[in-house]
Amino acid sequence: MSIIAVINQKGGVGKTTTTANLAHALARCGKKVTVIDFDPQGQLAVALGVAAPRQGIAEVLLEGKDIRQLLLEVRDNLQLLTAGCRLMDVEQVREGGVQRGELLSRSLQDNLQDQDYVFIDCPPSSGLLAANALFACEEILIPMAGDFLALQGLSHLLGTLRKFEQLLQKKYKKRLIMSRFCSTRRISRQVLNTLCKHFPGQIMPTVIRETVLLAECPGFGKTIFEYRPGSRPARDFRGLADDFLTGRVM
Amino acid sequence: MTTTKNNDLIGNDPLAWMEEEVHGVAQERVDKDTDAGPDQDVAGQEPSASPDDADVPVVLPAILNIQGAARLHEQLLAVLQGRKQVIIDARNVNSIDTAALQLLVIFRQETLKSSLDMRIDAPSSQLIAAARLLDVADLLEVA
Repeated sequence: MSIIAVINQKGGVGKTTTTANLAHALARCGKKVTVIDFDPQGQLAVALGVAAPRQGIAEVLLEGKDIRQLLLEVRDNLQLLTAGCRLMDVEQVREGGVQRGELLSRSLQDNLQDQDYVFIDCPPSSGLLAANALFACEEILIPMAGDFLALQGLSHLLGTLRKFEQLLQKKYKKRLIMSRFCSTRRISRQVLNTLCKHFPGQIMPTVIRETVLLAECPGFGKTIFEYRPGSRPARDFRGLADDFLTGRVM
Repeated sequence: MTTTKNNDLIGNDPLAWMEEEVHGVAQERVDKDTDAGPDQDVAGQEPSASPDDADVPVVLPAILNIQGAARLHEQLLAVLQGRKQVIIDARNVNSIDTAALQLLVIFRQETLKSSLDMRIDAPSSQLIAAARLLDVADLLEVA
């Protein structure tokens, strides 16, 4: 089992879209995948068609509920753990010292060993929720939008990751995904060039191009493979899944 | 601010510190024969002056950004102890972000409050440009 945090402290870069569609693409390849909605907004669940509030990772972390009883089979080979009703409360936990950061890591231990991949869709913040995700994961996927502020946000994220690597004495495997890419915009291309310069061998070669279809499909609780299976973004995510499985980078 | 020559829509590269950390600082470490550990970050180089070296300037590193702001803060506080004069050598600064600039401004304000003589020597053009942009050049006396 690999635990992968999909993280970027900047909002709007495509974390949830990437998590939902990449996870579904991998599940369609026969991999056993679990996604954890670790953002109190709960939008990963909505994107996968689970709109009604229900117990999830918040209740696992705060009340010690059994993670296996709260998992939802949302597609073949794909299960979802929703955010739950009180995930924001986790940010307010003041007791427990450094162990507050290990809540998720301890909850996942021994519970999802039958899964190939566990994806954690992180919130756009650097609080205790993000800390829990970084404690629990060994690999990081960083979706990046093609604008300047995304580069600025990435610089901050790298500072955060460095602190965790020093604290935990481990080195994360990091891969960047160029999402929301608009090939007709020079700024998008220049952001990608900048990433290639600083992260050689860490960028997944398939870029996810900006399209209205990816903005529409969460409204129907569908991934792109269900909403427009033959579309360009569906091809992009199939390519991304192939990059992910084969370890292809540029 | 560090600019990218080929990326004319990216005014300053927020990730420049990564590259300069790998190349520039590594060379600087060799040149200065410091005993800094491999994990020390760019803005985290030890100041060249200790609290006892009353007239020895504090040499700022090439990259001053938010990643090293906390350590720079500690360093500036450390050199304040027992001094009546603080000279900051800023000739090497080739990239500075708002967090680091804010730190220098606060440091300047603190020295004014405590009647300490603080001076920024040989400010680099990048530092001057950033200070002017944020309208703190007069306060820092680098105009």
